This record gives sequence, C-alpha cells and structure tokens, in this order.
Amino acid sequence: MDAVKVAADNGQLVIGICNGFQILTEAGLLPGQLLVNEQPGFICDEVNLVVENDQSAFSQALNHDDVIKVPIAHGEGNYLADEATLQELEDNGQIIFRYQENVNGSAHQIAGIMNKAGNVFGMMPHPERAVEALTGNDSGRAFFESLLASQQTRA
Amino acid sequence: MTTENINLMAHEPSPDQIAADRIYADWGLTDHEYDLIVKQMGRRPNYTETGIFSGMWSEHCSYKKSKPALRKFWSKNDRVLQGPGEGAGILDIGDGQAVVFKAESHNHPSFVEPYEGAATGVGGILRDIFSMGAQPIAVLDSLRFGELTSAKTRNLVDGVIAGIAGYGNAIGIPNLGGEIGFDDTYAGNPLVNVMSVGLVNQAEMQVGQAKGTGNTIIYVGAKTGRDGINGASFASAEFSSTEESDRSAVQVGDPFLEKLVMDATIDAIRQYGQNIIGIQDMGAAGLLSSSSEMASKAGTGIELDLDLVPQREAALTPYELMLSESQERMLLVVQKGQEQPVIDLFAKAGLDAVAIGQVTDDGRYRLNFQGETVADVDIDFLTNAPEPQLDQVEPSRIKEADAAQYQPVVDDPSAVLADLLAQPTIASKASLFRHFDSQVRADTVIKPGGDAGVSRIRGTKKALAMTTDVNSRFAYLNPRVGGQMAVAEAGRNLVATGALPIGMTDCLNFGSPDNPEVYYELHQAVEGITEMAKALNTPVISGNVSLYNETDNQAIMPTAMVGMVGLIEDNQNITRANFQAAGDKVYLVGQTADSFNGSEIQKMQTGTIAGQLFDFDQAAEMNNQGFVLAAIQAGLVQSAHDLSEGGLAVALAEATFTKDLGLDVNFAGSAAQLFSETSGRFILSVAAENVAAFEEIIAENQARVVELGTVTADQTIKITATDGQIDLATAQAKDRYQNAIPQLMAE
Repeated sequence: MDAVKVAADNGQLVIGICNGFQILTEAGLLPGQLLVNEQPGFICDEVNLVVENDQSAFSQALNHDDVIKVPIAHGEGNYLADEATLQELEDNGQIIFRYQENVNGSAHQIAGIMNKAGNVFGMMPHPERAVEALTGNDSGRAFFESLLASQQTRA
Repeated sequence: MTTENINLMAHEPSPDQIAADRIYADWGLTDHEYDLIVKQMGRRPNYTETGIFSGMWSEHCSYKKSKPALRKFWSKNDRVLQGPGEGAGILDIGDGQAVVFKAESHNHPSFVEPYEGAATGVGGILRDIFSMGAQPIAVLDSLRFGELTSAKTRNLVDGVIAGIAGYGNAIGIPNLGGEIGFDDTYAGNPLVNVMSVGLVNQAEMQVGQAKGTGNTIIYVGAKTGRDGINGASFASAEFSSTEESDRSAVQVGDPFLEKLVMDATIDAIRQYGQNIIGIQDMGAAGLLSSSSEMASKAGTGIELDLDLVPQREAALTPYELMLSESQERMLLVVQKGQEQPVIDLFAKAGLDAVAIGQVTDDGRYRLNFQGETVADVDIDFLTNAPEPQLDQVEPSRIKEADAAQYQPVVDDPSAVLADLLAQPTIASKASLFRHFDSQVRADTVIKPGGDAGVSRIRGTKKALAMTTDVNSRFAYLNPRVGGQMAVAEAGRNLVATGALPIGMTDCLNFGSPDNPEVYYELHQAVEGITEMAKALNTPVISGNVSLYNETDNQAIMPTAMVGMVGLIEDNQNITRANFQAAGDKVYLVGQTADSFNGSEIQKMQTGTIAGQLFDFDQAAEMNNQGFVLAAIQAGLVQSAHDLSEGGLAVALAEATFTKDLGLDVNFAGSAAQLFSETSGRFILSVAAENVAAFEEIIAENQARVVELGTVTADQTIKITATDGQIDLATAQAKDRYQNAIPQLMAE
C-alpha cells in the first residue's frame, strides 16, 4: 500500500471498488469503515444509485440526481462513520453515489465517497461489470467516461 | 519430534493384530478383499498399507461397484480431446480453444458440516478444472434437500448456500446457475453436486500422469494436517440416525489459499508447460490417490519420502499423511533437472512447493518414512480394486406400476397455477442464488434464473451456455426413461439460449449398490443417459458417482444429475427465457399429452408420485430442439423458454415476470393439460415483423408448432383452454413465485 499512499499524496487518482473501497478505508486514505451488511449475507444484485455530486473526477459525465443501475456483489458493504465525519462528507460534497434503496444498511445510504482533495475514491458497487450491452448493462460506462474526461482535462 | 513419531508408529497395531481384530473392516475392506491383499503381497499388510488399500479400494476412489455401469457411457466424438479418467473432460470448441468441465458430489460432508462440506466441494471441483491447465470460468450447483417445512432442512440449506457462496465468491469464479429441488427423500441425505467449467488453449492442456523414470514429484500448496482423514471411506458408507457422524472426516477450506494455488498452477503451465509432465489435484484420499493414480495411468512406479511432505501438525503418521484430505493441495510431476524454476514460481506466490519423490520404473508404490520403507505394494493392484459381481432386480414399484395417468383436479385453473408457482421446486430460488456472485470476471451474459447460464468468451464472438438438470421423480418411476429425459431437458435448456449442446458430465447419486434394486436403477439410468446423449451428440466426458446415499437403510430416489455445456457461435443469438415486448406472438413447440405421473401437479395434489412414467418421444424431442435452434440462429426469436415442472401454464407465467408483462393465449387442450409435463416442448415469442419468416421455418422443419396468442402490456395472465380459463394478475402470480421460498425459510 505504500506506493498507493505516495500516489494519493501526489494527487494521482486512486480508485477502490468493492474490496478496494474496504482497503482504502483500512489504509486511512478514505474515512469510515465497511461493516457486515445489516442483514448478514453476501448479496449479488443490481441496484439503483443516485448521483449526488456530478462535479467530481468520478462522476462528471453524469448529472446530479441521475439514477444508474449498477451491480453489487458484497457481504460487507455497510458504510459506517461517526456523525462528525458524515457531516463533513455531506458538507464537502464528498458523497458521490447513494443507494436509492438502502440495500446494506449504510449510513446516509452511502455507496461511494471521495477524499477531501477529490483524488481518492471508493465505492462498493461494480461499475466495471456494467460496461457492455452484451452482458446486460452498460450504465457503468459513465463512471469510466468521467475518469477519461478528468485525465484529458489534466493533460 | 522424531522420537514422538517413532512412538506413534510403535503404537500402531501390528499386521497380525490387524488380521486378528479385523481392523481393516472398520475402514471398509471386506474379508474377501483383505484376503486378496494378503495373497497378492505374500504377507500381511502393515498399518499404513492396510490404510492405503482401504482408501484406494473405497467406492469413492475405485468406482469398483459402479464401473460396470459406467463402462456403458458413450464418450467419444470429433470434439472430445479428453474423455473420462482425468481430472475433467475436454471438448474442442474451435480456434485452438477448448472447454473443460466436470461435476462432483459432496453429499456426505455437506450433511455433517453443511458450510465446510459445500465449500470444499467447490474447491475440489475447481482444482479438477485447473489441474487440466484450464482457467475456471463458472461454477454451477445442483442441490437437493428435504422439505423446507423442517427446521433441520432450513439450517442445511442456509449452511450449504453460505458454503458455496463463501468459497466461490472469495475465489472469484462466478456462479452461473444450477437448480435446487426439495423432496422428503433427501431429508436425511441432502445432495450437493457442484459443476465447474473452464477454458483452455489446446496447446496448454495437461493430464495427470507420472511418466518418465527419474522425474520429480512435487507437492504444491497447503500443508498437510489431520483433516478429512480417510474421507473417501467415510463417503462410501451409509448414515445412521442413531450414530453420531464422524465430523473429523470433513475437510476445511481456504478459498484465498486456493486462489493462490490456482493462479500459480496456471502460470506454471503457461511458463513451464513443456517441463511439467503431469498435474493432479489431491482430492479424495489426498496424496495417496493422486500419486498412485498418476503412476498407474503412466504404467510407472512411485517412490515418496514422507519426511519431506509439508506438515502443519506435529507427529503425523504415514497413514495420516497419505489419507489426509487437507484442501488446496496439488501434485506435479516435473522433468528431472527442471524443478527449480517451477518451485521458484510457487515460492514467489508464498506457496510450499517441495520435491517429495520420483517416478520409478518398477511398478511399485513405495513410501519411505524416517529411514524405513513403510509401504511397498504393486501399483496396478492398488489402483484396480476387484469388482464385485452385484445383482440387479427391477423394483416391484416399477414392475407393477399402474399404466393409467393420474388425472389432476382442475376446477379452478387460476388457483392451481398460483399454487404450483409457490411449490418450492418450481418457485423462484433468487433469494438463495443472490448470495452467489454471478458476475465476477464480467463475462456473464445470462445469470442464474434463466434456462441456462451463459458466459461470453472474450476475444471471440462465441459464448458458452451451461446447465445442470435432474428430475428424480421421473427416474424413480422409470430410471431409464428418467435418464433420457434429464439429458433431453438439459439439452432444451441450452437450446433455449441459442446454444448447440456439445457435451455433458454427470453426478450419479444413488443409494447402496449392495441393494439389487438400487443397482438396477444405477444401470438403467446410465443406459438411458447414454441413449439420449448419443441422440443429442453430447458425449459424457467426465462424471462422478455418489453411492450409499441412505439413512437407516432408506435410499434416496435415483438422482442422476446431468451437467451440460453448449456452444454459441455468435453471441448476437443469445436468447433469454422471458418475454421481451407486448405485441410479440407466442408459440408452443411440441405436442402435449396427458403426462401426469411424476409431475409436480401429482405431487402437489396427492402428496406423492406414483404410476407408470408417461411416454418419452425421442424423435419429437430431437426435432423440436433442432427447430428452435434453427429459428434462433435465423434471428427470428425474441424469447425461448423450455417447459418442465408445472408444464405450459407455469412456463408462460414465468416468462411474463421479468418485464411485468401479460399474455392472452388460447390452448387447444384441456385445462388439466396446461399442467402436463410432456417432454420436448418450448414456448417462443416472435416479433410481429418476423412472423412470416418464422412460419416459413416451421414449414421447412415440419415442426409441431402452434400459435397460442400474444404478449400483452396489461399485466394479466390469460390462458384459455377448451374447458377452463386462467385469469391471474401477473403481480399476483409473481408474488407467489418470488415469495414462496423466503416465506418458508423465515418460519
């Protein structure tokens, strides 16, 4: 993780999806932690996410309040943080995606957050499993299009 | 530690004590078998030798009682690159690629320890796949439990589902389907059958053979402990409700370790394949069976130094080392002098990889331990258990069965449909399947819940469809025809997705073969499977037998599970089971007769199944499957769904659920026949603009196809038969279908 921390400190984009989100919280690169789902047990499904912040490197190809259907596959996706941290996430616009229906018991229905600097991002759902019509869902493409756009802006 | 070991060995009974106290009998060897061993060896076997014979001559390892039936399987055609006898079978799918698959049972361990039993079942079948050099791409499971009204059954279901999920999800191989059935026959003996499918480049195929004198035997993966000692013998005996089962005979799995072993093994094959002579998973009877079978297949001998075996517990005896079923272990045979790069590759992944012996040319199986030879036996003798002659008797329930078909009571067809949709065997299993990761690797086109799972093959236009199927009620009434029908239904499931069925595997779950009626069922089932497999051109390329599925001398119904794989050449033709749009025309393929004996409606209305099984028309089955595939490949079919339990009405209702549609159809048969289970039928939906072209294909194929009506947007299921009508809100039907299992599980 040391190399990842250096990259994050240098302002490079760091993204953790599912287990990756858990790792980023455990490494202290993102606040909070992920607990066992409110109803214990692994869930594989597709759920609706609401776009909270459409100004980030991870969501700029989307619009505020857009609803996208994205696969989930986790047993420990129940996001928890203390009240002060949650308030800070809300105030700073660090919450990028929320679950439309709270599938795992996450505080503030949080599905994906970024750090204050806006370069480290974690989410439990799997946009990478939703990028082709052939596999039944391409609504995760906007996430990757956002990343591409942000890299082009940088360049 | 050395002295401790010597002391332990010193406490083992002597060869004379083993004979006098008949210790071999506790391990499952008969007096006759023991006498044969003494005669062949020219002396009494010591403790270790007796142990290794008991493991290798158990039914689980030797198939001594099932082999006479298994020899009847048909397993060769142009596609077959590897038939039965290896870790898994392999079929050519073109472009230098091949599909690898096998199914395996973990019934006994799953009853004793549901979570670990099911989890290690997944681990074991995955090792069979990657030992052939293949990347596993899917897991499927076929599960049978008692009725969900029992709390013990509900606990078993929870444990088994959690075990499959816990292992499969963690290792990152998607679960693409399977099926779950419930019947009292499985209350004391649930079935956990797991299938895995892998992909391999033909240039990288491996086999489990120990060729070449002097080549090195390398042990890879987890260290050996005292778990699952002599599990193969445990799996080859019946249960009794009065005796506590032997929990120490169940293994414990570690999917994270297996992930490392899997990736490193595949890596090793890709990088050093030329120097790797053979690979085999250490499954049943662990180090013993893998090493002796590899030598037996190659016609060589083996010499192992047991002091070198990686061990995680102190003071393991040779008997324990050889018969432990610790998980996540593989055995490699590597060309002499080329060991180091392979060992280094595994070491880099943090895995033990240790040279523990070599291939010899003397046909002996020789084990050395602390400077002594602790076993020295003939390999051919060890790996070819004598096959007992067993009697077959046709059960009287079949011989004397009433030929008349059950006549269902259908006064209110809507209510009958709603009740059938809530029968656990028909109702949605989504609340259970959702615990399985079905999308990891991002190749899944059709998830569990369709007629078959479908996975695309990256870099090509191809996809693979896969399914498991069994109807033990049909097999109970007629094991031969039931076997044919299981293969036929698996074929229909694949065809409905647009796939050409190309091959199959099986799990034969039966009671004790020592019961002549059970042995008859086994032979009949194999013959039935082979007849239909030949007709469908789906050779049986691998498989597994699980006998002694009995509790208190009550055998389960004959349950021959069929796992089948199909090839889709163009992924644009992948077809789903559910209706796609209002206005599409609905067609029924195949004729409907009074097929009620063994049906879900008979079970629901009478609480049992009885009578002579209805007729199976193989020619119609083949013709209908051929027609459906042709229509799908012509791009004319919006949806295709095979008819099975519950018949036409259930299939029509199921097809409306995904998109909350309705339908308005007329059926030129009786209301009772809406629930008939005549084989060989499908429902198709066709967009209005394709109707003319579709009807031309009907004429060309001389298929028995009738238009039933139309998919509607009004969310009502309207089915009019000659003497009754179903009129049921889609939402109400769906509610019964989706909530039946969650409600039962919550009790």
